[in-house]
Amino acid sequence: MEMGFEARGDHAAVVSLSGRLDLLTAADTKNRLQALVQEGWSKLVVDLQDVTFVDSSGLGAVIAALKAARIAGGDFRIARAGDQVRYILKVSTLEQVLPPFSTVEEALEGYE
Amino acid sequence: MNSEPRGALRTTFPARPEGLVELHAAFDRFFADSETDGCPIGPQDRMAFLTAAAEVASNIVDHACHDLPDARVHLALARHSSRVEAQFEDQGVAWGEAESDPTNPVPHMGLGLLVARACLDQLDYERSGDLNRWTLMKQLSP
Repeated sequence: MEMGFEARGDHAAVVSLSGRLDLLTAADTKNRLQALVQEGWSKLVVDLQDVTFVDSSGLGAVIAALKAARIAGGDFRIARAGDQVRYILKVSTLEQVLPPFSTVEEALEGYE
Repeated sequence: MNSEPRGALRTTFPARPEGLVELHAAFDRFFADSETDGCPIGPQDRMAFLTAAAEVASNIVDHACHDLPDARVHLALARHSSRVEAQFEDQGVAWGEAESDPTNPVPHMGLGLLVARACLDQLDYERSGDLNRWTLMKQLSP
């Protein structure tokens, strides 16, 4: 899975993912997100505009990164989730844990 | 699966995470063929059906066939007038007997099948000899 990175402050950053976040890519994505948190980027916004599909493995990776960010005193938010991503968040009832923001800027609000 | 389908596709894919790329390709072809045949499947139904199928496939790859790298999964898709069906067959460990790999950082057998059930109108499992068979059914929106 391709991952882009853009710093947005001392500890805030936007991570852009593209492709499918599923069994094939979940573990590596989780490791890379957790590494960012360990490097000090504890206030993350993940831009999902170019993520075409997420399965439960992908959700697990995202939730693991969320936990890591909160333990580090930060947070983890998702933005621009497409229809399928919103769908699996709803059927898994995880949208309450990880509500999708409409834009990256909205997700970044409160991080400054 | 019964009665004559209006569209069908049969394929196999390796029981490894890389095989999921072939799974998605198969579904792309199935959905495209449905359009070509004048029996389109609506976007919401596609999303639910594919999401469920991907979860079942991942479950097979990550649990039933986790220790069988050379195994293949057989997939049959069928489109009927009011429903779509998928059937997965594999010769891995029986569901319920497979142990999650403790080194797997994202074990989600439970959540995956929960999601699959939520997406479908019917999800059935049977063990026949050394064969696992998952049958998925989604009623199509009018």
